[in-house]
Amino acid sequence: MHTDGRTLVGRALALVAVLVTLAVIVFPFYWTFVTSIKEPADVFRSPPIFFPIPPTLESYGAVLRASPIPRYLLNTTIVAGSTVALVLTVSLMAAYGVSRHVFRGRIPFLLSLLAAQVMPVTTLIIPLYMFWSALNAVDGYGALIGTYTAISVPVGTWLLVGFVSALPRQIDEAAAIDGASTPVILTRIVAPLVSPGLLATGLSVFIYVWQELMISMTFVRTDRLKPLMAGVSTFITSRGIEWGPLTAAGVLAMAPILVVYMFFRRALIKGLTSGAVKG
Amino acid sequence: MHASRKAEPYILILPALLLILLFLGFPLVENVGISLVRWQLAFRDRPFVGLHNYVRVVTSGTFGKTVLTTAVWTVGGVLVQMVWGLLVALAVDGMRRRGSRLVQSLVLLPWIVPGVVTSVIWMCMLQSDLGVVGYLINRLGGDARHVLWFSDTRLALPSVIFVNSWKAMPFWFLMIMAGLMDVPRDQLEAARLDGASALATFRHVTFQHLKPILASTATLTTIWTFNGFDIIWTITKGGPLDATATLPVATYILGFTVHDYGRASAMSVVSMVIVGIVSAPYIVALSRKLRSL
Repeated sequence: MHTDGRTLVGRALALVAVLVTLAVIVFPFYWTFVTSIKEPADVFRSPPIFFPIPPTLESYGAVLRASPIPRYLLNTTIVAGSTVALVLTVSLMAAYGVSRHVFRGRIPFLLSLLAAQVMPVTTLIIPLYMFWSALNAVDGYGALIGTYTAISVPVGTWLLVGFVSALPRQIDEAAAIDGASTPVILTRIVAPLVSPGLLATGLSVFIYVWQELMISMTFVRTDRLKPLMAGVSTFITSRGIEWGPLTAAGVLAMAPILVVYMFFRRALIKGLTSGAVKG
Repeated sequence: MHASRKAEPYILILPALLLILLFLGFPLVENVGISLVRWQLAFRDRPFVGLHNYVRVVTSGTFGKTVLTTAVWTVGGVLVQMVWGLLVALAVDGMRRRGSRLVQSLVLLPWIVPGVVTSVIWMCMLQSDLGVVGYLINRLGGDARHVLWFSDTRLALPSVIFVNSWKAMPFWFLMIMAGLMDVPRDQLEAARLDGASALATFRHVTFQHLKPILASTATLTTIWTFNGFDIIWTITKGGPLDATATLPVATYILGFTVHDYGRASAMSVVSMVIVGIVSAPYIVALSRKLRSL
């Protein structure tokens, strides 16, 4: 009886902890969304309006028609897509090399992948800014794609080494005996077999680029070329704060990621956690 | 045939290696180089000044405060994330299957939201006077009418630490949930039958099995929190009165607002040394595993 009472209290406390946490997590999303569908005059009403009826899409109209947000979305999509393609190609090659061959420098190479993952961006950003300026490449997609690719390749390779190593060697050895060249083996045999790994890596790289702020706001000065996060953050300062459009922009900026999360939860979590976590 | 077989791994890793050397290795060295010269917009020349930039950084008067702010932001933040993540993980672990999957996917949400959007969300929630959190506090009998969450010099740092923990806690939750799966059920059962209290069971059984995952998660989240930039930059830009200026934020301001690249590089070298010290045991442990591969 005593233990039953104790577990009951324990269960109740656990339930309270979970419910409070859920409220603290879910309500801010709800509130941001609700703010984005309020009439401008209702945003500051006291007491606050919890259920705006009828809702209005005015703020979304303002963001989509009268602000550069759609352009920022396009910029980010181009940069993120190109980065993902490059990272997957380069990382798969390297992962295959590392897991199928024993060679001098293999361990130092693997260690450099690890060390690269903990480097603070502040130690890179000044030299890289000078580098891209010297190439006249500041204010273009190239500087962002190059920098993001380099930052993501260590994580990507590390992640894919795990997947490629898990494939039985016999598969590609058999293909090699049949006369298939390494590029053919990589693209026709290995890549399809590690597609879960490519998905996990691709998604986490995509999200990294999507949310990155420091590099994107430094390497791009022209408003039209800004990626989404750099653009949204200027929204905050230059416009004062108009909460309707700002929250609408926030909702639009996270919507693609939430959709990806809904459909690829497992792959996404795998990609985002097994970077440096698993040895 | 033989020779090309020997060259093959090098050809395969070449693009990755070039990218790493060109965009990570070279800048790292170059950054140390810049920290040794005077490089400011006001001057055309860039004379070698030895350790002068480091001396100026360390003796600047605000450096002590920056280090303290960074320590509070990092250590305080990681502790909040850990305790919160641990509590929620233990609570969810005790739940029945049905609910726990939904709870898990909801708890993970803040983690995938971009830092800039997280900032927008909480700036909206915590507006002074008109924010919904202030309203709820007033309704519950408190008085939040004149609370300036992000612009009061004493409150700003705890506020941004909370916002960052909100975003980072799910990672702890996820890692601890994974760790809890490895805790042997029979040991928990045995402890229960022996009449051990919940706390004693946690201390002597669960915690012992969680230790390795807590250690590696602590290392990673310490590095990530230390390097954190987006949330502070979006909400406070390091203000008010430097109250939230951590090393990365102060470094960025020095570099790209003040345009004193020499001094900013020196400060970032300080960051690099700190991150190096924090991550060294972890990288050494992982490299042992590498050798056994």
